[in-house]
Amino acid sequence: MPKIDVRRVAKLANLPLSPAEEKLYQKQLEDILSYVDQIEDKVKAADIEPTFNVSPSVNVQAKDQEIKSLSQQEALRNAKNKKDGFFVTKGVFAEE
Amino acid sequence: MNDITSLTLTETIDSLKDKKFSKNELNAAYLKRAEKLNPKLNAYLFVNKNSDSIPAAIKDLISVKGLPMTCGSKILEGYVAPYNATVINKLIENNVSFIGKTNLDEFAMGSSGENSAYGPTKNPWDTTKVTGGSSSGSAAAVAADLCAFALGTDTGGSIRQPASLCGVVGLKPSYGRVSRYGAQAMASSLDQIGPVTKTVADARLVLDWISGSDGHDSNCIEQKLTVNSSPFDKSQGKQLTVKNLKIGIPKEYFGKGLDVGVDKAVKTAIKKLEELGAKTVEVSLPHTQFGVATYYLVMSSEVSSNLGRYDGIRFGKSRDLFGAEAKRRIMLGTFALSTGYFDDYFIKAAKIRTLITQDFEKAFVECDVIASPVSPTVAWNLGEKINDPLKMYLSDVYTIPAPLAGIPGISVPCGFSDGLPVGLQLLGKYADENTLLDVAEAYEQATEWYKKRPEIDSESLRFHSG
Repeated sequence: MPKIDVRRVAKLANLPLSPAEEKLYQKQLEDILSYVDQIEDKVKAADIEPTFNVSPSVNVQAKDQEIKSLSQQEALRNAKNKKDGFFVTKGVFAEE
Repeated sequence: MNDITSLTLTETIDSLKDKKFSKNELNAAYLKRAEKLNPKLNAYLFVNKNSDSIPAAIKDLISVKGLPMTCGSKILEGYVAPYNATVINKLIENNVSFIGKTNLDEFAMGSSGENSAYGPTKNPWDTTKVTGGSSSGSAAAVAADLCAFALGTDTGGSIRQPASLCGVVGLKPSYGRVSRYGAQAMASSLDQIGPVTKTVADARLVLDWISGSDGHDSNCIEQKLTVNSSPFDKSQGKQLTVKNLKIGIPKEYFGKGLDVGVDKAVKTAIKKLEELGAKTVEVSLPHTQFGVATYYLVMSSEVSSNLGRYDGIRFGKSRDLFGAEAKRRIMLGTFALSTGYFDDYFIKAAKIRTLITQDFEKAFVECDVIASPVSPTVAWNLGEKINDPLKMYLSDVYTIPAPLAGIPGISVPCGFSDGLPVGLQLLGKYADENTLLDVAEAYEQATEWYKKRPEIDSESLRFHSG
């Protein structure tokens, strides 16, 4: 059994794939995973702290002040579907 | 003035001051050259005819208000940036304007420039070769004199590697040196914006312009770097010396897979630094061999999250328009973060990232900068690696560790192999761009490789420009 199931991962990532793409990416990602598996096999790191960020900054907060932002018109400029000055999104509860 | 476009940024500024030509003449010269050469090189995705000051080329994932921005993707075809990135505002304050938006691998994901949805950029030294990536158009535009300088972004080598393959200077600043506000986020714990320039002195100047925090990128270092002025400033009569500096040579960067011609050029460059008075010491970065695997897990995980914003609702088109490399990385990252695999992949990679960072900390006890190749080979043929993603990933082996550790790195031209440019990589201590730039400039001024420019056959352009 291969570790990665491309169809399942694509669904999680909200990526529509054609059957031909599924086949291609299944092979390519299996190859890539068999390469990255070396970090599993060859490095002992149980006691090592993980690094998620290399910035020395800690607890940086934005200033509590009003700043100029985009106008409604500017913010909507690149949206494909809009109505009454709002973005049109997919329905959350209804099947549209 | 015989050739305005061959001037460096620093020379351009001096010439403007001395009124040798006007800003209009400057832009007209660059526009004319861009019109002639871009059809052959595909360095620009958009040429801005309204550029009216010092003409810079901007990687097309950095927002310039009112100009289109594609990020090299079909998803953003037709998108117009509604605001300026912080780096753009900082450049405007320094009399810079924007002559074009440069081609790139889609969403900055690639090592050859071939992942652009708008076709690959061609290497100005040989148009059958790749430019490297992902800042492919920025490196080609600087190499072919289509701009005074360019901005790129570097996540795993995307400034240094194309700079190396195109024979120009590329600087990746320390993580947090430059605000990323207004730049498309690829892998947020790694991404940095930096200059691609004709000389090291130019890179100093651009770094000085663009560095500093803005309150919009919370990873940005609060204190602005005071960039040393060029020690070769002739008006000051100063001469830079690298005496007493220790240059670390990591044995892991000179092993299997390194092309003979590249090895020779880089070792000759190191010898030159010794002649200039530097001492070399062997250092070890023992976790280098795990860099590529670690990087592709950390980066892909962050990519899968950052590219979630492309939902076609607020901007952009639908997710089926992602190119192959974007899809692969989104899926690899989604997998690495998914239940059952999170600890074995994402967390394990984050732990090895600690080990890689510690490797550098230990090495920098012994030395001031590290010298190595940028890329194991010179520019390869277009199409050569495009169907083998893993092979493509492995070409990033020498550039990947620096961003994992957050340290700065520069590529400076150091000769040729098979008629194609080779870059010397210098890596510095965190936040110590000044030493890095000093060593790079001492080398550059002693060798003057930067004076070599590609001969672009303008006659054949008539046939290719269509």
